[in-house]
Amino acid sequence: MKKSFFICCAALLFLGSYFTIVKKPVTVYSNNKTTSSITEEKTTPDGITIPDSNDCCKTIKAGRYSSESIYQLNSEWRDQDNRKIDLAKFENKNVILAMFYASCRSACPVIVNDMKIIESAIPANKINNYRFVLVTIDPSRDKPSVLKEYAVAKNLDNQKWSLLKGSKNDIMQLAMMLGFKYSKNADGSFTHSSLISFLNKKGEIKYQSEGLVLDKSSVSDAIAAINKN
Amino acid sequence: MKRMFLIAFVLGLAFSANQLPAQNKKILETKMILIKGGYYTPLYKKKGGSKSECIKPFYFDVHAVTNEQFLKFVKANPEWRRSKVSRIFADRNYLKDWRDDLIPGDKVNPLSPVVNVSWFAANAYCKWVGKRLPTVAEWELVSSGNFLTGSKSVINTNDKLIKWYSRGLPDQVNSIMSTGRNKYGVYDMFGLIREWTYDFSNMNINGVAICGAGSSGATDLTNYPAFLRYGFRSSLKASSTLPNLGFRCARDFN
Repeated sequence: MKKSFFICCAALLFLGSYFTIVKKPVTVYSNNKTTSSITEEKTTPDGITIPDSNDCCKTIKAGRYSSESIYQLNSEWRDQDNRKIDLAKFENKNVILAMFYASCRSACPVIVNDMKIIESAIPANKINNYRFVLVTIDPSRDKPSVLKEYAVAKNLDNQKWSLLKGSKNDIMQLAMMLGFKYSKNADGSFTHSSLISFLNKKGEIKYQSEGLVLDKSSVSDAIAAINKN
Repeated sequence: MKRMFLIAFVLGLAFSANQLPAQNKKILETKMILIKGGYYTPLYKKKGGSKSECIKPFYFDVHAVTNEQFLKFVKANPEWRRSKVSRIFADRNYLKDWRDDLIPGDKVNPLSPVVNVSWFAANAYCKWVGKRLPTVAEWELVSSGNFLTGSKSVINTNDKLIKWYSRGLPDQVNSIMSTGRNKYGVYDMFGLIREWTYDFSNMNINGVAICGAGSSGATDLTNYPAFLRYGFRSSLKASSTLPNLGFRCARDFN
């Protein structure tokens, strides 16, 4: 009696483990590459990466910001001094932001110049409430040192201006939020929109100036819009 | 003796319970096909470039992401639930065919492609499973497999394709893998849903108008379906959601 019980159990144990272990793996083509953006992911022996079900992909930050704020985007950037920064660092400042790339010869210098005109239009006693942000769309060439050189050459005040480089995906997500379009050409240059965005202290886009003609009345409208709460 | 069998039975059950996480994992895994790369001719030539673009090898999901798969994603990522999602990331029709945040409901087929999802949601899903959205060039290259000889796709001529594109919004989307596979072994490139691409918004930078004068400068004037896709893509915003718009993921080869 006892013996048969053990045999029976052993057989079932064997069968159970057979189905658990030898269960045919689902065919998945995987290159073993893990993405750093997923935290605490589990890699199975066959190289398939499945995120922890309790883990969040951390693409966005919930709750803290207004539903229109671009600071909800969980992105990571390096500035011209190679400091790691989150866009939300600019919370509580009025931000004038444009996307560009350093080796751009036509539109970008005009955009940067426009931003400098905006900077000079802001009264000196208010200027500390403003930050000027340039985000590169060419992360492979625009290293922080290149951005630093650019800032120096353009005489941009290091206290007020941030020139940022991020991952390709962070750049794309930011561009999608702003409605900025860009595409790399075969010769390494970019075709892109000309867009200056005005963000209020919560990071909401309150005004956008499109094209390469900046008129003074639209600047004062934009400044008024980001200061209105 | 009877009791012993009962014990053994319970033990057996305990072992089968072991397989539940595996089942979970299986739902999220979509088989991928290695596409060896190739040449893609964009509808509008890029500045200073040659007519065709070289595309590096990549992996491509054989089918679109399903409701069942997307449910796993929203369960694990509360910020992507319908009631929680921020308007900047998805418009108010996000997942509108689902009954509730975590209950798609009886009317939603778990094996149909998930629709009413924004670009941001699609991008986040792909990132979550360790993949990314395919680029326009990659998607178009794979879709060309529907026009090659030996394709089992039901839609393989421009005429059929135009008919499908001109149909209105569907009441219900069929299951994945219901429209046949193309020469690359990929299912449902046409005939089921339209799909998000990573760089969809970067197609129309100079404001090229579609139809009429918009065709001037195009590389292939006879490819009317390509114009339709081009026009459709340029009408979207990254937060847009539509009842016939879903996605699938891709991955770099190395």
